[in-house]
Amino acid sequence: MEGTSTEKVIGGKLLRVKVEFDSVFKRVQITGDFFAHPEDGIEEIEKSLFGLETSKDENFLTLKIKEVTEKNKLTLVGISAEDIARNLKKATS
Amino acid sequence: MRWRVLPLMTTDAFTAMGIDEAISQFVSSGKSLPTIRFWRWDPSAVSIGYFQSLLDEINVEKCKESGFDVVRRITGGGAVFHDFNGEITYSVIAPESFDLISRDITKSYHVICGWIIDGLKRLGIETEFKPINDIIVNGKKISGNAQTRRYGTVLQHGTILYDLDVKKMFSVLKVGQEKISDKMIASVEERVTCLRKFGEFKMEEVYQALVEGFTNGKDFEVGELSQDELQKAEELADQKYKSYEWNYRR
Repeated sequence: MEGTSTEKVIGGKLLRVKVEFDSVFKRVQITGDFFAHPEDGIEEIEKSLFGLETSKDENFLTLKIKEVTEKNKLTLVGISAEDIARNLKKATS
Repeated sequence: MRWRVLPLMTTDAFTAMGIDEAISQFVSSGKSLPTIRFWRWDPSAVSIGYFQSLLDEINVEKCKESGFDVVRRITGGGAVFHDFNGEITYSVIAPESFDLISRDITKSYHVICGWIIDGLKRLGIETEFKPINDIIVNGKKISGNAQTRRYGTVLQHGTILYDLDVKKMFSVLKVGQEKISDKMIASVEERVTCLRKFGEFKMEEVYQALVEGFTNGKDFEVGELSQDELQKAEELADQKYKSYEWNYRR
């Protein structure tokens, strides 16, 4: 299955999450006009979601993303871990 | 610290991206001074941010028909139509450790945008910084900016809108309702403005004012790209920025 969720983050930037999934995330693509430093941190977030159950709730996904941002010293500008998690849930609903 | 200022030049999109990245590498290794440069895009082009999906953002067929180049930047941010007759672009490349710029990303946008604001003030136009990365006048955007930090350097580039052809812009950009719906604004003219709306400025006049704004209070020399930088820029343009793999990576 495929799903997409797009959101203009209030006070931030446009975020689009595209997913391929069944009971788990198979492919996640996070696009938009935000910034991230270092830039390859976004791919790290995408990779970290592979194989995760799509039934996981938003809080779990937020924490998972925050693990990646902390490990990679990733600064997100214009979007947040919470924004990504919320749109992952919307894309799979 | 001494800056190098490169006078206004005009290149195609791929060369421009190559030059910015080449300078970043050379500033990183200490072979080049921190650099401020000004440039224009010929042919006119569309650039997308590092994280954008090219096909989501751009009408590629229309760009081809119109003879516009399409390139992905190494900086984040949005899709931008760069009209040769419509804007001046700048780049600032400096070591990340350079106090003047700030290690805080949000603050550093404010600092560099402050130089643009200084320059536009010299034309009699009062603008203000709007976080995250815009400069506005009367609530409308007149400059967009984008930054990356690689090789231990800060690269920030941005455009100052000189003239605006909204029809041309929207013939090539796909702007979703999501971006504008939260402000309930129907048309681009309500969100974006340009210098020509404030006076009969010539491009040369705007360029001179920006140079003064950017160099105000700085120790600088007017310089040029080295042969090594030019060679590196050409390699990057040919092997990276023109490649399908790069431009269609998302």
